[in-house]
Amino acid sequence: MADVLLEITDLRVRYGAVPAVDGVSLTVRRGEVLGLVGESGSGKSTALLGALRLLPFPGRIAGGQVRLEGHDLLALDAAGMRRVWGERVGLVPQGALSALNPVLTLEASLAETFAAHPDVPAPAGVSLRERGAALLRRVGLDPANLRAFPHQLSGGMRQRAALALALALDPPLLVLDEPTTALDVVVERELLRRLVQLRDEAGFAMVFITHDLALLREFATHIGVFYAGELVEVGPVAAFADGGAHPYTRGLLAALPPGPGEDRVPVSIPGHAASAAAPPSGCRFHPRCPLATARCAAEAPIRAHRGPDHAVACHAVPSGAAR
Amino acid sequence: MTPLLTVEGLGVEFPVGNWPRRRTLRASFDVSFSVGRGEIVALVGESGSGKSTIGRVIARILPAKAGRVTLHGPGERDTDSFGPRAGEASMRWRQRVQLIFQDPAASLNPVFPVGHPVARALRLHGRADPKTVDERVAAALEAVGLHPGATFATRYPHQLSGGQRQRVSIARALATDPDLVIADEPTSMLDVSIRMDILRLFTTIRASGTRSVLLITHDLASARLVADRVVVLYAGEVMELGPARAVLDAPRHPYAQLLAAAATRSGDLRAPLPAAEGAPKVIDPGPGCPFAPRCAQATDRCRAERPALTAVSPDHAVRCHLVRPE
Repeated sequence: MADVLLEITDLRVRYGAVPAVDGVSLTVRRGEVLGLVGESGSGKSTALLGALRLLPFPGRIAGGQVRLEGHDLLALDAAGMRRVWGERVGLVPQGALSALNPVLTLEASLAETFAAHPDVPAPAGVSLRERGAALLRRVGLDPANLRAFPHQLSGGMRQRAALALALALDPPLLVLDEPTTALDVVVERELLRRLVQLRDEAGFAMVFITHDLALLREFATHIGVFYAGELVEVGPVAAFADGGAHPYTRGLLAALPPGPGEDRVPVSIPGHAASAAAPPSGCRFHPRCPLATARCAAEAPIRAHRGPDHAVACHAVPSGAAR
Repeated sequence: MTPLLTVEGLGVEFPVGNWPRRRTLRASFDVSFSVGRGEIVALVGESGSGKSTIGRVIARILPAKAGRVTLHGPGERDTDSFGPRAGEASMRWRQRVQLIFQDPAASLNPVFPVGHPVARALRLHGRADPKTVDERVAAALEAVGLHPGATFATRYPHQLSGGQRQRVSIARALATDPDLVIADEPTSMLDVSIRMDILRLFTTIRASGTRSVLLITHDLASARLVADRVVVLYAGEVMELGPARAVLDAPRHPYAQLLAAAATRSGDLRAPLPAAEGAPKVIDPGPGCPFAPRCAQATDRCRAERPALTAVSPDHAVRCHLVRPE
C-alpha cells in the first residue's frame, strides 16, 4: 500500500546474546499516531530504536525486516541512514536534556542539523536565524531562546526544543520516546496539545512511546501493547475503548487509579513484569494472567486477528470479530 | 480528629547562583497545615511547588528559615523550631517521623541484604533485642507482603523487583514504629501494573488508627484514591486545602482547577487549558498571588496583594481573592 510509511516485520533485537525484542510486527501509515505502551524493559523503545538502527552496541538486530517508505532500512548504507535520520524520521529521544548538545545554543544545534542535510533545500531568501525562529514559534517557544543553552531552559522548554530539532527538516514520521514521562501534568498536557496542532498543520505520522495507556486512548489513532519483548495486542484506538482484548491490556487499564466521576477499585496485576531475557514458558504473561490455563504455560499463542487491523496474542481471546 | 502534626508558617529558602548574582530561591513560604492521627494527607503540586522540601523539613533532613513544626503526644509533645538539637531529641524525632524515598533502587544500599536496613532501624531505636532481631525483621517484611520474610531478608536489592524494593523501604520505615510516615512520590518509579498495591499499603498503615501518612505526589488520581485530605501547593505556597474529593473533584482555586483539567483523561486534546503556560516564579517572587501571572481571572489586586487563606467551608480553604467565603 502506498500510504504505508513504516513497516516492521518479525523484528528480533538482542543486546549481545540477550534477547530484548522477539518477533514484533508493526505498521505505521501516513497521518497515523501509533502509541506503544508497556512496562519498563518490555522492549517498546528497543523495538523502535532497533528498527531505526539507532541502538548502541551491544544492541543489534537478530532478524526481521524494516521498510521505510518502501526502502529496506536494514540494507541501507551509512550515508543513506544519515539522510533517513532527520529527513525521513525525526526522533525526540528519551530525556530531552540528553537530546540537546549542552555546549551549543539552540540556534547552533539547529544550524548543525541543517548543515548535515545539504540536500534539503533551504527556503529562498530566508536566513538561518529566521528559519530557527520559525521552528521555535511552531513548537511554542519564544524565538529569543535561540541564544539559550539547554541548561537555561526548563524541562518543558527542553522537550519543545528537542521537538523543534526533530521537526527541522519536516520528516513525514516523528518518533517520540517517552516525551512526557518527566513532565508535570500541566506541561504534559500543553505539549500534547501542541503536538496535535502540529500534526493537524503538517500531517506527519507519529510513533509515541509511553507507559501511560490512558493517555494513548486520547492521543493515538492506533495502540500497540508490549509485554516482555513481544507485541501482545495491536489495533485501532476504538478496539481499546472498552479496555482492549488481551488480559494484560485489560489489567493495565484496571490498575489505573479512577479519575473524577469514575467509581471503580483499581486492581494491580499480581507478580511483576517478566523479562524478555529469561521469559516464562508458553505465553509470557501466563504467570500473572487471571485466565491462564495449562495450555498457556505450554504453548505460546500466535497473534490472531480479531477485526480489521486488530490483532491479539492470547489463547483465551477468540479470533474473528465475534465476542 | 486529634492532630498529630501541625505545621505553622513554614518558610524555606535556598541560595542560588554565585556572587555577584547570588539570589534566593523561596521553596516554601508561610505554609500551614495539619495531619490528624490515622489520616492520610496528600501534598500535591508540580515540580518546584515545594512539596518535597516541606516533607524533608518535617523529617529534619532540611532546616527551615521560619515557622514551627509540632508533633503532638499522646503524652509529651515535640516542637521543632529548627535550632541545633541534642542527639537524643533528634533520635526521638526520627523514631516518630520516617521518610520513604521515591527511588527504592537508590535508597537501599546495594552491598547489604535487605534485612540489614530493617534490622538497623530496629536496633538503633531499641525496638528489638539482639536475640530476636531476625524474627522481628522477618515479621516486618511479611507485614508489607514479602513472604517468607526470613528468605527475603537475605536477598540483595538487585535480586528484587522495583515493587518489592519499595516494600522493603516501607518495612524499614515502619520498623521504628513511627507516628508519621512521609512518602515522597513512592510509586512514581514503579511499573503502572503494581502501583496500586503499594498505594494500598499506605491505607493499611492508616488502618492502625494511630499512624498517619503524608503522601507527597504529583499524581492527582493517586491522591484522590487514598488521601483523606489534600494540600495543593504552587510556588511553595498553599493554594487550597480540604477534603480530597472536594478539592480534586470540585476545585475552587484557579490553579487547582488547572491541575484537575490537565489530569482529566477524556477531554479534547485541542481544547485550551484554563490558564496560560508558564512556571512558578520562586526566585524574586512578586508581592501578589504567585499564580496571578498565569491566571485567566487575575486582577490588579491579585498582582499587588497576596490573598489570605479563606475558608469556604469548615475544613476547606482557598487562597484566592476571587473566592468568597460561603
